[in-house]
Amino acid sequence: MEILHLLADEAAQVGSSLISSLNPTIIGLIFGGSLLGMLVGAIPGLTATMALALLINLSYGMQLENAVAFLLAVYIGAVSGGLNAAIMINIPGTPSAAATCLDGFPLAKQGKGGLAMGTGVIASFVGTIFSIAVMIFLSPLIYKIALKFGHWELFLLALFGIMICGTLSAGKDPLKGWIVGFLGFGAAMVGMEQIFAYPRLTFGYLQLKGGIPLIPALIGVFGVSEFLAVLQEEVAYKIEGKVGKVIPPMREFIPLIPSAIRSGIIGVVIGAIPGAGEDIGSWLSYDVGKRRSKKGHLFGTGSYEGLVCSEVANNAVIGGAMIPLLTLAVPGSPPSAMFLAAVWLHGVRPGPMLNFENPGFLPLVAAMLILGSIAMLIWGLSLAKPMVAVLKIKREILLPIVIPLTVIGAYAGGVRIFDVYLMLAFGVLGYVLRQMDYPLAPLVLGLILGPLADTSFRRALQQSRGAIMPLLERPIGLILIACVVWLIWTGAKRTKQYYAEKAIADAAEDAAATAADLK
Amino acid sequence: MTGRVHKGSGADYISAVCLIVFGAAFSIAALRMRVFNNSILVSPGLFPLILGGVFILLGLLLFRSAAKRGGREQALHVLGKENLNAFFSSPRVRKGTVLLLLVVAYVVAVGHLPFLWATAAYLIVTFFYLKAMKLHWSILLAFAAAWAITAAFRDLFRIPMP
Repeated sequence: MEILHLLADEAAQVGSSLISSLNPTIIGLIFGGSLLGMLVGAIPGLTATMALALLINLSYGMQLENAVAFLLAVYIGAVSGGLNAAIMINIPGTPSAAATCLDGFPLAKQGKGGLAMGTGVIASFVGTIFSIAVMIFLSPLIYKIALKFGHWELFLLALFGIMICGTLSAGKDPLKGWIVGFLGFGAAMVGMEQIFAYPRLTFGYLQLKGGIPLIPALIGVFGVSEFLAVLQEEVAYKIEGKVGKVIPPMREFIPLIPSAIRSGIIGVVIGAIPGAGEDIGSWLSYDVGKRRSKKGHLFGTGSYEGLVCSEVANNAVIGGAMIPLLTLAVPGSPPSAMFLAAVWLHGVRPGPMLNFENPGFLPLVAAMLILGSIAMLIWGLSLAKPMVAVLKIKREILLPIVIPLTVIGAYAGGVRIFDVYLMLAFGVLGYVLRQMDYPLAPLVLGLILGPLADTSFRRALQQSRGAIMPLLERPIGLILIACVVWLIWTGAKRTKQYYAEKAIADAAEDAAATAADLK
Repeated sequence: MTGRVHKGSGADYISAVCLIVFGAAFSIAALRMRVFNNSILVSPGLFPLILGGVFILLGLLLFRSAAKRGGREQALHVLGKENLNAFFSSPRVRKGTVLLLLVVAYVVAVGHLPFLWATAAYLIVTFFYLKAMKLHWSILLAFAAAWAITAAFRDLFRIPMP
């Protein structure tokens, strides 16, 4: 009963937040943010994280409500915007729309590009709304559990966060994901630590005493490195077919409802896993959909069901990613890490105490997500044709303009040119790591969770007077330890298998080349 | 050794060595940190010391797997003069390097020149290098974009500019 009361209370708060948000400023920011997000998302290669990195600077001078409205609208817009390029040119606008290409492009070739975009936009809307509902009803329950976390559990949570993020984002080679995650922890050690205010690894730079500022680091890792990586590649494409009719008949959607619900659940679960992100949610949902559907054999040939599986899931990740972010301060995806950095700047500290310190924040986020998804639906259906025109603009013209925006974003937070240099350093680091197939999400998560891991670990040891046994008797801690051990075990096995396969492939390549040389 | 470059093992070998050295340096720096109240348990260097150990361990794991795949030979081959010449003359690498250098030059310029001028200069050179459009259009668009960005952020949104 208590839980039902809690949920009813939460729903009522979201409703009142929604009503109080209906003012011209917020509506304008939501529609503006959504449009900007969709434009960045539509440009092939640029991600939702990049959209937030570019536009975060606009939120510095805003009030908290306005900043939350704007940034969440950008986030939703950018994730959805990726589908236009995926459908019309077979290149995903954002990585989260990669699975959308498989059915979207064949539909465009059949002259149904408009209908595919319309279906994708509606599916994105359904996915976001579904995930918001889950977020509203699940978050209060997680708060209740999170309040039982002590220092030891918080340390293990941070460790678990980077381990699972490293495992999932590195594909077949979790070792590289873990390395990057711990490098993020290492970067977080720079600056004054939180127990004695002792400066660590500052190398005499006064500017480093406050630690590595999160926003310049994030902009560097995701903005600058992405700019370099995207422009380095020559990608030639042509826009396929005519756009045609955009709004699909509603009767087409009824058979797709079970797939949409299943994809929504997959998206939310993947979103709630730290660092997993929209692209993993979308691929997993597409794969499950293909195997479970009665018309699975049509996936990849222009199936609306395949399109729905991908688009519902990638947008459902948004609400899912907000659950650990708001309740545990652990971002579920890289764009949500950008959002976390932005709200920190406004003095809000998400985590177990959020409901006490900022009781209206969760309902505010839910209300803004709802409004953001409505704006995305309206723009997506009404601007499908102009969006295709955006794809005709050369990337060589649009992308260089990104760099001045990243410089402003890095500078404006602390008003220091040092932060711009730091952004550049992280940009180069991100670029090098990308070239060597290291994932970037664990680096950011490590940077965010590093201070929590350090302080909680030392405080837990202090509380137990250095004894490990009392720490091992705590049930939540034991569950987290079991999860970390399982991740290490399965990850090590996967890494070993991957390197063995790679060695065989290299040997086969050598043998084939030697045979060719002998001929 | 066939003299053929396989993607991965050489790079893994080099990054494993870097990681081990970095881990050792991290541990040494941690050991030099102050210990408060004679208690190592809350000492600021404890967590960095553990992290240093983790870096070394992960570096060793990567080193082992890279060495098994012929990483040492690959690394020596990749870093050889002939291969480095081929590497830097590949259009993809050259483009990435030039774009990076342009960004570095822009960031340095922003610290010394007015934002509008530094931005316009960066955009003109970058558009020109990327052959985005004809030179006169590049100049026009670069100034228009630099002015629009400056006006929008400084005057409209009141964001502090470099």
